[in-house]
Amino acid sequence: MDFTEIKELIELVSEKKLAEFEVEQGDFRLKIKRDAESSPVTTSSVTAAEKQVVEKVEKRATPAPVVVATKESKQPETKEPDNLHIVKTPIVGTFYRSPSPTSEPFVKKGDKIQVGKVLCIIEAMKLMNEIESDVSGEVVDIYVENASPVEYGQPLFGIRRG
Amino acid sequence: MDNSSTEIQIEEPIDKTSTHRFRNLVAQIVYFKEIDSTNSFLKQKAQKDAAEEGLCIVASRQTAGRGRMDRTWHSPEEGLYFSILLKPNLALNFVSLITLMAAVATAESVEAFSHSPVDIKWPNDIIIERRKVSGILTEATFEKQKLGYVVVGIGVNLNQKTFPKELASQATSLYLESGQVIDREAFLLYLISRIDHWYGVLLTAPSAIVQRWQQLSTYAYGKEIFVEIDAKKVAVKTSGVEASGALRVETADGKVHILYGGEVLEGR
Repeated sequence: MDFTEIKELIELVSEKKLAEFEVEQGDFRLKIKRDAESSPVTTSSVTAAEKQVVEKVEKRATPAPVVVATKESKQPETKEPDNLHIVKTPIVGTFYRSPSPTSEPFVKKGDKIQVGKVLCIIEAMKLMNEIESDVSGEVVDIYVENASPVEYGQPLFGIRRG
Repeated sequence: MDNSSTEIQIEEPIDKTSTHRFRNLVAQIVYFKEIDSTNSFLKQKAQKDAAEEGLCIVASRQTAGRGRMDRTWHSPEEGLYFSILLKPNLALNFVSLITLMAAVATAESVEAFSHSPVDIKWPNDIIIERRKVSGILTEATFEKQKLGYVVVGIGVNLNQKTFPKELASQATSLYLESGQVIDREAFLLYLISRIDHWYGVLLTAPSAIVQRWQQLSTYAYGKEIFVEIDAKKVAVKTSGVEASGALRVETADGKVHILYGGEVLEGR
């Protein structure tokens, strides 16, 4: 998750007046809390990079969300190799790797796929959205656990073009 | 569902076809006596780009009727099994309103024919007196971050006089509620006309879908329900529907959560 995405999330949390918001993505977990009283409270154990985000938050009009970043983001790299294509979710919802709990996943790591291959389902408000691959190649990474919530634009699959 | 499958379905004999022109949609209706699943059939057609918006598949019986997550949908001859193909040009944040739109159209149709007070359980189960009378399964495809086609499948319990034991306490039919045998075709055309109306609204003023949904559903405001938050069953009170169709709920400590999915559970 990059800074622009984090910033967007903070703005969303502010705008929607949410008390608390949490998103998990691979090894990265972000928790945003609104301090109802006044200015935001920052918590310990933030890295230098995360401090920038907190500072940005503090510049906002109060009350603003509190950012609590618990782990360092590991993947996917923002600088992706030229032949690595990241498939992101177009909508907010729940990520499913198979059509039903008992069936095989649509794709596994190492699968060679063609354009148009269904990779997963994102369910939102009982709308089952099949996400198709827009490139051909090999599935090299799956960034999200089955049945977990996903946010708009969150990376789902890494596909090496070929 | 599996795109890699190259199996070609042998088409069941078509019973009859008819075409009806509405304000927004031209409904080309294809009736089958029996089919595996109207949604599966329509998806196969749409995948081959062999289908226009407004194509409707209706079956008297489904041999493999599906609900969410491939759960079976009990599909005897007394019911209506119907799927319609839509290709809406919608902003991504409104895409999920398609299910609320279908629920509004179905609730209005069920109300008109059953003469009973109808409720919508978020987001799209049609309920009379706590029993399900209709279920909706909407399936869409996304390619290159853009919505492709949408198949809205609607199952309605029309003339069932009884239900299997395991469903009896949770299901009802229009016949059981109204005491009258419902003409399937008359109900179908009414339902399509409501879909046509609300589909037009969805494309031009999506917020009106949310407003109408909130009018029709007791789940919109102040309903005490249980939902899953962070894998825990939590008691919440509903506090309206977001512009996207997501459900806003509050926990006892006043925290607001926005739900995009998961089951809405009753009771304790």
